Amino acid sequence: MSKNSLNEAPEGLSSPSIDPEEVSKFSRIASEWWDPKGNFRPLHKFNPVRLTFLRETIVSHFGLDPRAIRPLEGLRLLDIGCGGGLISEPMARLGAQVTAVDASENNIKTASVHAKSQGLEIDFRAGTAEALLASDEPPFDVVLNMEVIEHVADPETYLTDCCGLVRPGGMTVVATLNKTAKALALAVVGAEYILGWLPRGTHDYQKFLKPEQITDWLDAAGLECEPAQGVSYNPLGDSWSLSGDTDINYMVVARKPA
Amino acid sequence: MPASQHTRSQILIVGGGSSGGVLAVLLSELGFEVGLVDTRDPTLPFTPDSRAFAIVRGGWRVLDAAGVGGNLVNKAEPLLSMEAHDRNGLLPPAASMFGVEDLPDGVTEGEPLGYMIEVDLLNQAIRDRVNACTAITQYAPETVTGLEVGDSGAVVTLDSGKSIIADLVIGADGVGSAIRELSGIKTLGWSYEQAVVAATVQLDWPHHGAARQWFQDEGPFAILPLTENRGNLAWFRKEKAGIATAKLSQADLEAEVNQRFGDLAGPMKVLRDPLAYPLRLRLAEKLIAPRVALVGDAVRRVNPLAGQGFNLGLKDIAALVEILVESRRAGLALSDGAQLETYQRWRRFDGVATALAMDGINRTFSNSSALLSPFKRLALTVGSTVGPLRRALAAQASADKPGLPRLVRGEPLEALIG
Repeated sequence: MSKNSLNEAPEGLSSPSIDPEEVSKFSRIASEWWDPKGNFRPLHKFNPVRLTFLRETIVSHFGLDPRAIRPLEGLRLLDIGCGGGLISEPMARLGAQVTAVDASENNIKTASVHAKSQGLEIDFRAGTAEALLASDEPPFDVVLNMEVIEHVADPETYLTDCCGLVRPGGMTVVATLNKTAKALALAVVGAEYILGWLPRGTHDYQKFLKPEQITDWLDAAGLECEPAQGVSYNPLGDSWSLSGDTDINYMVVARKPA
Repeated sequence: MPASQHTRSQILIVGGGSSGGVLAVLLSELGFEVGLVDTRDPTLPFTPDSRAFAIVRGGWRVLDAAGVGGNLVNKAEPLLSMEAHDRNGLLPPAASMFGVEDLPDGVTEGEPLGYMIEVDLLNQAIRDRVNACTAITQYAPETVTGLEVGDSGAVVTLDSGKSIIADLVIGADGVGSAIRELSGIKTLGWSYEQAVVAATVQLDWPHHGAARQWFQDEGPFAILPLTENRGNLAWFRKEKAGIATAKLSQADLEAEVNQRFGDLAGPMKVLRDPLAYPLRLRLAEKLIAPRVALVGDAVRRVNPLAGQGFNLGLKDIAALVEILVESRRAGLALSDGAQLETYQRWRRFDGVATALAMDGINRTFSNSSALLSPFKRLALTVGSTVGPLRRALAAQASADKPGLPRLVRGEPLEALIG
């Protein structure tokens, strides 16, 4: 990223401009994000299932070739709350032109360093959905909102802003944890405390949302929702799979009428 | 060296033997960019190998998917049954371990347990298929001298000075795998201080597609059925005796086997020079390292008592291919750590179980101490008469258990992409 794009970015959004001395630091953090046995292990275990779901959902929505190696070629995709780029990178590999936003400058620098090492072109920007909406950025074909909404202060406003970033005829996917005892048990007690998968304090149960809440907000923003898709964990196989059970983790696909 | 000076390859397979060759063809046909490194000069014939493999049908399906099986149809002998006998007469004669009739429910009757194929023919068929895949970049004869794993790829250096940067390096380079050593993966293993003498003979008595094994004090003696009523002898001896036996002239060996085994197998004519293969068990502690996966004998060398080594390798190949297709489909890097872990979890136990089971069978039957005899008898009796166990053995030798890779279950290659 050049200095120019940083200067041109609207207030609240900045492209990463990384000091070479910082690269090694962010490489280290990146290697934590990308360590399959590290803090983000559950996201890695989870990734093949949700990525395959995203691929199939997007391909079917836009009538793309399901057998293509890069089926998302030509689509503009926004990954909000991209973290270390665990979703952005696969979407770019599948051909999408990816813009990835995260409120944490460190996450953005980390993700940029890693994506570059993978030879992937991704437009990483530190900022928020709100700031992006306020900029003159054209809306996107696909907006991904994966495991973010449970971490934001005002989820309704946040989700409404995200919907504003979807072009008419485009789609969005929202993934989060359900507000159930099971989700609490697995994600907070299990993943954070017992299994030690996630850093403690990663999740706040008060912020967990029921699928009906998400679909109400999406409806109000003028999008058409599909029934929530559950994702279940099988402790014996240590694997995740799609299921009808939305009690723990679920994804909601919504389309914006053309 | 800057990245630009390396040749790039999406997947670099080190080892162009039977496992590496099949894997290269499958991945190339699936649209991956594949490089293949081998120490052998592809224009020269293979070192002769006098063994024959019993390829169970799951393994055969993987060969079919790679387009190799078709070229071998007339050269392979259907394996219709397996028999174990105790040379010392502790058991009723002709205790059949399992046959086609023992196949698990829902499996087509009449389909053989597998096929016997001479290793030389198999190797040549695989090489021909690799050479026909022009999309595979071959580096041969070349020896790997270095492996360096970094954020943007794994750099493999060759003795010619060439270097290749790959997303994923697959070690298919056999029991002494350089890729395994360079990745710091340790092995454990031991020698049996035995060698198997392998020779091809013309049989007089019809073999009826049966693999027959006789357990005796020195170790098993087996005759595996080949085409034209030939047989492949696998004679397990103490290591030194085995090596000495393999040095006999064809005429002397013929006299020896007829004298020792003629009463069991009928008159035999030795058709080619025998070779001796030392028996060593070796297991890799891990199947993966960053940007590295191992397959076949690089993972494990098992006692070839029932010809399981290559079959296990074919299952590794089918599992790894399936995982790499899934990674690509999901947009994940081919070196994705969680995906490689899935491969390791999938394939690690199979190898260990088989290695230990083979070891157990060989030890049980080869030890003549009085203490072991009752167990020896029990093991054979259980193996030959208890229905469920026989079916489990048959299913293990075949390919229809749930949880097996899709290619092993007979799904076509195109189905993996669809």
